[in-house]
Amino acid sequence: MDGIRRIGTRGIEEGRGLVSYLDELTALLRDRGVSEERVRATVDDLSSFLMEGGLDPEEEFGPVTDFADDLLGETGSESEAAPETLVWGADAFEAHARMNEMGAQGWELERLDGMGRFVGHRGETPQVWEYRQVIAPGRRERERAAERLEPEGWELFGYFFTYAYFKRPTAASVGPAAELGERPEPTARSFFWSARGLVSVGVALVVVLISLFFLGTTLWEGDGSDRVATLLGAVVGAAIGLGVVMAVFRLVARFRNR
Amino acid sequence: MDRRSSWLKGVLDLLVLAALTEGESYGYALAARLDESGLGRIKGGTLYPVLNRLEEAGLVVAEFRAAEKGPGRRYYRLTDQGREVLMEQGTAWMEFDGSVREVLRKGGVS
Repeated sequence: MDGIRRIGTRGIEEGRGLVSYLDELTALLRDRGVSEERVRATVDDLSSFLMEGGLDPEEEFGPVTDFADDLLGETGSESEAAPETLVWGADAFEAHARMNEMGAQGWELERLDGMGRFVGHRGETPQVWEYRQVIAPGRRERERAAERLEPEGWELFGYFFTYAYFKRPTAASVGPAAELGERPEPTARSFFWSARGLVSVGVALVVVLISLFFLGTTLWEGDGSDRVATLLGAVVGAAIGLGVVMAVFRLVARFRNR
Repeated sequence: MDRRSSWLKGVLDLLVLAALTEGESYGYALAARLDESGLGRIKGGTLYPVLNRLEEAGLVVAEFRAAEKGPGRRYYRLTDQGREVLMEQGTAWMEFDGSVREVLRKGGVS
């Protein structure tokens, strides 16, 4: 109590300062949509606080605009504004170019979600980012890729199936020039296809449909032993096919990450 | 921000809740009580935003009472929820404090 009392009665004596501060605070609270009853109670209470201690309003509460924001739990315009977020996807042939396009617009990608889509955010003062897509199936290959790329400032931020994704702030290589001059509107597209991606998916769909057709026909027409043999053959064939694809990806990754 | 202010910032809401366990109180009296406890003078610019946050969170309720002479005051009272939060978070703080003490003691601070 003594600490407060020691301040003295300067604030009361300089009554005009107190009144003008509280008048301004009243106007600010009204502007921010606070009810008239609440404004009156708040200002009366603060006035009572100042008078009881003989305190100077500016010294006690700080700049009036900041205090009004603090009272309402607002934290100013820039420091804690919620960043924009963006979720989008692309096929493997298109992802690299699109990631860098987004990076040039100030989007920092954070992770890939369960569907393989990129999740990114852009703050109030965005920087330019650059990205890489690397073939790295499995944890070991991802670690190898990370060891190879980390010395150049690349950071692994996510992976999906056989690909690992790395990011690097462009400021790491070009300094302040990486600050974004303008702030382009976020893309409205949720997925980016490439011609090669569409053809690949189309071919894969045709192969799957033909395989299912022949599998179905054989199962329908064959006897019991035929069905077992056909199903076994289909499972083994699919496993071999998948294994060959994975082996090719692993070989490419091993070669590149040496 | 000096180190002491920084410590206080993390625990001021709990100190206010604790101060209200003795009964309802108002802004100036709460600041004075905390000052008397050796925590130093807490300015209104720090205290009132905390009181507002506690009120919004339902941990305290405030009632404005007009005065016969001079401006009225808002009186704050602890709610049941506020009491629960105080117990829970206060215990967590004590554990944290215990760990800090232990590390400092091992570092030769007595």
